[in-house]
Amino acid sequence: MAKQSANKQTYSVCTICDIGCQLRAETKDGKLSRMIAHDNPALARNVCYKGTAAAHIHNHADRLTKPLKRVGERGADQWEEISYEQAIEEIAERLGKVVDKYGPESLAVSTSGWNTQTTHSMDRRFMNALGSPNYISGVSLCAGNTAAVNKLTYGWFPFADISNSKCVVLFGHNPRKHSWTPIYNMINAARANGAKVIVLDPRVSDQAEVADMHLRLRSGTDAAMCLGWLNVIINEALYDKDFVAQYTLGFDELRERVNEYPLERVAEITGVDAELIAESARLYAGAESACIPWTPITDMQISSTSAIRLHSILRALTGNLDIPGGELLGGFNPDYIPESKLGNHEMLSQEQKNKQLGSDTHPAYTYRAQEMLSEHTKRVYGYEYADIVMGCYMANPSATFRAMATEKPYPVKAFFVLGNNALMSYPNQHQILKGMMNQDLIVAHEIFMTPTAMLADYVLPGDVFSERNHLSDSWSWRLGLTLSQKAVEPPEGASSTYEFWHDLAHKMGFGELFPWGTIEEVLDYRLTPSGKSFAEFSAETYMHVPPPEYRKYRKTGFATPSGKVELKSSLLEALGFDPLPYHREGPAVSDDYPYYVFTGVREDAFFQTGQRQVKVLRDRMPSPKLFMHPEDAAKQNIVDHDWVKLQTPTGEVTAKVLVKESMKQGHIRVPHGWWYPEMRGQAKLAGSFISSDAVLCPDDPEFLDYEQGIPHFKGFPGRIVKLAEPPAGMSEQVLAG
Amino acid sequence: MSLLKEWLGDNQQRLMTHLANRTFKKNPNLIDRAATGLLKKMIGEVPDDPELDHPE
Repeated sequence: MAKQSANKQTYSVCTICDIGCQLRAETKDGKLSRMIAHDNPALARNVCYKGTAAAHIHNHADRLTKPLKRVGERGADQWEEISYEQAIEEIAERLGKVVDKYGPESLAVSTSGWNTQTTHSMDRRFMNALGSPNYISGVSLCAGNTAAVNKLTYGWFPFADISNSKCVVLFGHNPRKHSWTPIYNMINAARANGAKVIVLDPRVSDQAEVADMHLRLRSGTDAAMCLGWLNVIINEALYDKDFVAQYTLGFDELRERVNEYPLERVAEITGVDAELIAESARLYAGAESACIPWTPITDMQISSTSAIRLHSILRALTGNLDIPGGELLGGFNPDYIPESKLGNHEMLSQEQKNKQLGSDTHPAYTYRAQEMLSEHTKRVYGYEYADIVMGCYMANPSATFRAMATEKPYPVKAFFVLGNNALMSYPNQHQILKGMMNQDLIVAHEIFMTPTAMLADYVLPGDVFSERNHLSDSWSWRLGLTLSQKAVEPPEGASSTYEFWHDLAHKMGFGELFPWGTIEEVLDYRLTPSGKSFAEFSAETYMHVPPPEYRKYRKTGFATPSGKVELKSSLLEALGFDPLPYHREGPAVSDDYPYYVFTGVREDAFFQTGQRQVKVLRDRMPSPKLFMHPEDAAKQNIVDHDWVKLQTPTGEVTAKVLVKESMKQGHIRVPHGWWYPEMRGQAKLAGSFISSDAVLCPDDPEFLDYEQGIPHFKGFPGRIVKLAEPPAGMSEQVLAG
Repeated sequence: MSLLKEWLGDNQQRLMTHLANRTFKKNPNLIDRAATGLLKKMIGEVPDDPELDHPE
């Protein structure tokens, strides 16, 4: 006990994954010694074993601590150490040359706001000052795109009030003890209060095992299922008639569309019994309050825009918008200047916005669609731009990497990646590599040497959450403000993302747009509306939540062109798309490729492509494993732990197999983001082309969602080939585990 | 839903938020401590979880 009392304790918002649990950091002798659960009873359960591994990650021997400059061929992983000042000087000079030659749009930036916690939107501020619209992010496949599509229907991206809900609907989402932990705890709290839980998932997931109803739909058919639910809800008059009459537009047209999807047709598409579909729809619509929490599954399908809109429409029709236990349209925190404002989007000219890659063909989350909401967003929420979860004004990643590789429609010749292993984080990894090999300048800002960073000209070490102060507003998705305190100093050569953009902007001649010398000054500025400084806020509290206001739309209307919930979207219609939701079939299985493959699946031990080098986590999951149904495995003569290749027309993944009764027959589940840090120097880009799911899914135009350009990660055709021997070069741990 | 039920439901949530904000204070006064005690009673003890440990 005496040893513990010598430790200093501070409050943190963990960013080992994207959930942002509040934890306590303990430090000793200037080092982070451990992360532990929060001492507030309401927050104490929100902790997973990734979070408690933070000290192992932040103090890891392989952490980057010095800026590096490439000395060998691109991708050869040969470096010289340079000073931070030299790196910024040279990056500014080389970026200036690229911009002079090809124009400012030739810079593309890819970030993960999850990994870096925040950039305070300084990436967008820098790009908007320079003149580049080509910002991409993993949130285009995960929550950010959902935010943008939700806005098309009712002007905001709601956060589900799960704990107070009487019915929770999980579309493929599987929050569990060590993944999406706070959501898992909220679902448990709701269940304890009598909530029913409906799970729609091909697998018997952890949540499905304890659900009140489980619908084992075929992967990638969420939109059809929602249309089936609406068929029941509308034709049995289970919807909120007053709300529909007063606050929605396009109900009659929606009814016509829904009637094109009788339950027999929906049953045929989804593979779920019609009566079960009807029964679950009645349970959802009849609940006193109900929510459909955001799900990363619906984000990644060929009918993603329709499916996300259908979730929105279900919320609205059942009267669950902005009520306790429903879906909260929180708005911006009134005490905090949002990233949406700090990004300075109004500074980018219309001419440059029109060049945003992918906006001509797939505009839903680009400036082209989202700026059509600006005056309505301003009317309801006070700001013209609502960049919720950083996802509302993005370029399309597939179009961006194609431009990097082919220089069409114009060259993209400089690529900056911050806290983002871009090579493995988007579809079509082969094209991404081709694009990166065709760059004049690549800058990576990272905490570990990743396969993406290995392709860079400069690698700058980043800081981590225990080394910086922050106030999180959950990227404007939730209303509360939570404190994350600097517990220890970063390595001498490390910088925050803010320092990077600040220093580069000053070097490039627009430093006046970055007047804040430190992160604390940025936080002071952001807190201006509260009348408090960061020091005052952090001395007083570790969290503050404004008391909720409900049904705000009664006073303000919705932030859409009509001021109503647009069941029939005027924006999609104006952009030339079907304004009503629909189901579109993904690529079909065949004799050659007989299985439905779903990728992008998160595992408890890791966040996306990260942490494979962290022993205490890797020990828990030593190797990548595909899941198959026993009958499928028997047909292929495969047993547990056999090595296989999973092949698609686009690429192949080598992994072990686990045979699981919980899998739906005919489906194969592939984990996301596998590479082998231990193979650095032995295999190309540390084995990032051996087991990475990003090689599998096609992103040719015919395989993309029309409105957003999202690939169909959930149910594309593939086949299994059993390997006689394990692949060469694997470590003992991988072979054994 | 009747207006009264709506009003009661909304205000119950606002009250809970006020209560929660009191428990987040770094230098709690007597009322803040009482709020934390009440919250603890409502939520219950959080047991130790060995799965969170990382023995090397």
